[in-house]
Amino acid sequence: MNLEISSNQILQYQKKVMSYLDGSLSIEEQAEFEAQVRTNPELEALVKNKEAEIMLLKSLIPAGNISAESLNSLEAEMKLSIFNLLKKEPKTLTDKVKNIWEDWTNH
Amino acid sequence: MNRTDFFNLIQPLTPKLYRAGFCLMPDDLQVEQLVIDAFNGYLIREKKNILNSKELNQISKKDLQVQRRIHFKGILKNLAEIGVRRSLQLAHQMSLSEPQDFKPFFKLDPRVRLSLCLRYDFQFTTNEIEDITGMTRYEVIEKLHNGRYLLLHDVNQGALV
Repeated sequence: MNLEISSNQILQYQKKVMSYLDGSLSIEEQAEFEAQVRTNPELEALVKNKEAEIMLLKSLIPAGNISAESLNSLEAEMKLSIFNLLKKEPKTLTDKVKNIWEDWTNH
Repeated sequence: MNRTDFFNLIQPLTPKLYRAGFCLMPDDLQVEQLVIDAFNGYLIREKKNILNSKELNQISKKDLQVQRRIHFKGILKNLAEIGVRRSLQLAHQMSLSEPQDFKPFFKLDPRVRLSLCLRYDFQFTTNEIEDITGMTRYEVIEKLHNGRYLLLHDVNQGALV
């Protein structure tokens, strides 16, 4: 494959850097872009630059770490919701016993 | 799938759901409420599918990850819808509890915050963000672009002062 490209094409690839890093290029476009990056140092430097920018960006987004206390309370609430909202309507006596057993072992 | 199995499948998602909620509402109690509301909505909507799905011991490890991700995205859909609306309604109250270190982030529109969080924290693709937020592809790209520009611009301005 001939990978020599004009400055105009380089400009076009430069415009695609963020789309590439955002994962919004199609699979074919992505493969074509990666092939160009491997052969074009200017483009490679630009990708690295943008990657560094994204790392900085990530540090500006809060991690929102949950405390152990909140985690326990949230999990308990979720469990309660599951047991209240996902109850299978018992059709047989076995289903009824199953439901009661599940409720009993989880409360 | 029985209820205990479903809880075991979903349990590892709790911190992630909290993190996504926190991007919209930086207040512990509000986030918890948001996650629970989104989760309850999901359970009601998907009750049949969940109860009719295979038992945990019949699912391979790989399928387990796939299923967990499907549920995660489903819950996130609800969280996005409720959270953006609630965040806009409670914007004034929320500003009091915003973490000081992340002021520029919380100054952004909730849809922009959510898009940034889904892309750069959770590594979702543009297509997936489209699906989760209900925005068009163009809107998602626009939100990501604006968010990046505003956040980095803010940092550069701060560095100049």
